[in-house]
Amino acid sequence: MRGLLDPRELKKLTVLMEESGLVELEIESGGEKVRLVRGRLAESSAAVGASLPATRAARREAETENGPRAITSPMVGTFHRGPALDAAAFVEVGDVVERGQALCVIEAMKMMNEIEAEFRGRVAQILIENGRPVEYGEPLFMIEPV
Amino acid sequence: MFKKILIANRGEIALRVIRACRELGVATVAVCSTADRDALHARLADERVCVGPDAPADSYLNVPAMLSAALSRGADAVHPGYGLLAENGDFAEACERSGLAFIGPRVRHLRLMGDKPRARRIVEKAGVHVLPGSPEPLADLADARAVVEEIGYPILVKAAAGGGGRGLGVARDAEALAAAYAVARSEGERAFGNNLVYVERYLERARHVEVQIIADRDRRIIQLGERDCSIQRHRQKLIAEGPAIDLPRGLRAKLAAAAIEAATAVGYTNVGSVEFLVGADGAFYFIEMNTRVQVEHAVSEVLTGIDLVRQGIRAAAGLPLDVEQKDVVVRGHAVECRIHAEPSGAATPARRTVQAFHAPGGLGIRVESALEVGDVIAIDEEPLLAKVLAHGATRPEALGRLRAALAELVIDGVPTNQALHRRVLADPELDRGAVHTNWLEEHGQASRPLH
Repeated sequence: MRGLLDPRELKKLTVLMEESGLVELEIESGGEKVRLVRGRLAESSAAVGASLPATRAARREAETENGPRAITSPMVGTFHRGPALDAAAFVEVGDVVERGQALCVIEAMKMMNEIEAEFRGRVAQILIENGRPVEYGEPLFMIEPV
Repeated sequence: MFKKILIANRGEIALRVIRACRELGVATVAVCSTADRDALHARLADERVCVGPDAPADSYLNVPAMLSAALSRGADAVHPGYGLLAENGDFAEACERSGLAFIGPRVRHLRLMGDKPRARRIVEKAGVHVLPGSPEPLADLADARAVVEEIGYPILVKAAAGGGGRGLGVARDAEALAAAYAVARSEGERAFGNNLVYVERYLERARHVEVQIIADRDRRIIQLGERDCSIQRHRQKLIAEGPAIDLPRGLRAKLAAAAIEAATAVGYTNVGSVEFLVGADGAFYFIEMNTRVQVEHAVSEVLTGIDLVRQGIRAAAGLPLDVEQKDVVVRGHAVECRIHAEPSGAATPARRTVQAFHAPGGLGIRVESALEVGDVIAIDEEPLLAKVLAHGATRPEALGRLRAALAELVIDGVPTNQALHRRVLADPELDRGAVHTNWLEEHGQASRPLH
């Protein structure tokens, strides 16, 4: 018999969890102990699945799980790449940004709201043109974690 | 005329406004929550702005997000629809301050009519009867008892900021008064953020008759006849029809005149309805004024051929009414059913997916709905899924068409009140028109199982 830590066995366990909807599983056998917790992908599917049809939820995961991650707008407003209308842009494609570093400003109700990087990474794409309106949840940047 | 209107609502009323804007050649911006990105109203508008997450407080009731959406998209006006922010004076004021026209009455009208005891006082001063009651919100339960001492039971306890059948309770004795008082306070607090309460005499077996009015900014006010909304369940309108039948001689004209007086007294502008209770003796009393386009506005539209949403937009743009009182002719009879989702037992999942939807059609039928297969419905909130209207030359013709339409309507996957509507429409007493606000409950129609 193969041990629990054998990749094929682990795969079986993940399938079992998927099918049964289990979020956490802990197994001990022959001195080996494995604890599996379904991560972000499954959690987000459970959370949005409550309010969205399955296909929409699935599409969202695909968008966020592979490679660079999107920084989305937390509010409705107008996208500015710099702190003021004629100021230089905070970041350019290729820049490495630190967690908490300003990426852009969303102007809402004449208030300038700085949007910060949520993690350290390289700016892979700037998705919105300067001065364009953005909606809640709209992807603004693609950032590659480094 | 406006160039671009943001519609701060969802569902069928958002579609209704989008259609009126299309006809007027005005661009539209729809708002949606993250759960509604693909909803019909969001797809049908020229632009769509997601204003926040699923919870209404974060999206459809999120005033800064609404304003930011309107301003960033270059809208010059906001249409609130009904419900949500439609009667919110603070929202209307915030719109005006941001340079956005609020499509509705003036801020002061929203504030005045939203304060029900104050509205009663002003309308009474203008010579319109109101039911005996407390002229001011009550200080406490002892104050309520003192008022009831004077006017007697049964009594209706109401949240001062209430509406839509919420924050209301009937009391027939002192014990029930204490309970109803507590419920109205807490419901008022929860639903409207205001725990003030007032009381008025409860008129049993009365009819609910409301008069539709439109007013422009030049103080021209016209009325489009009345609607009878006596068939109610838990004090929420289920069926609306027009004209009201078997009104005592001369009463129709008196109601219309009283509605105009009430609106004139406050210098009202835009679309509104003045609600009255009509007693079995023909006496009538002002209850409240709805300062928005109503759910049942389409009844008046099919009867008069006047587009109320269009008139409201025009009035807010400062344009004069393009119809005069002498041109208003009520033709035939119209009846509207409100099809709501409803919880059908404890084990039901709170969210259901629409599996099939077929809207009836044909001569004299109008269906207003934003429902689509795949929509996820939170049934506990009992949302409106569709309005089905029938128009005919006579009341029997309209009722016959409505019965045929309801037999055809299909909404699968979501429990609805369709069966209740079919039972009500099959009741011979409805044909005789012998209905009043307690009718449904007295007939046990409201409590019978639906499936």
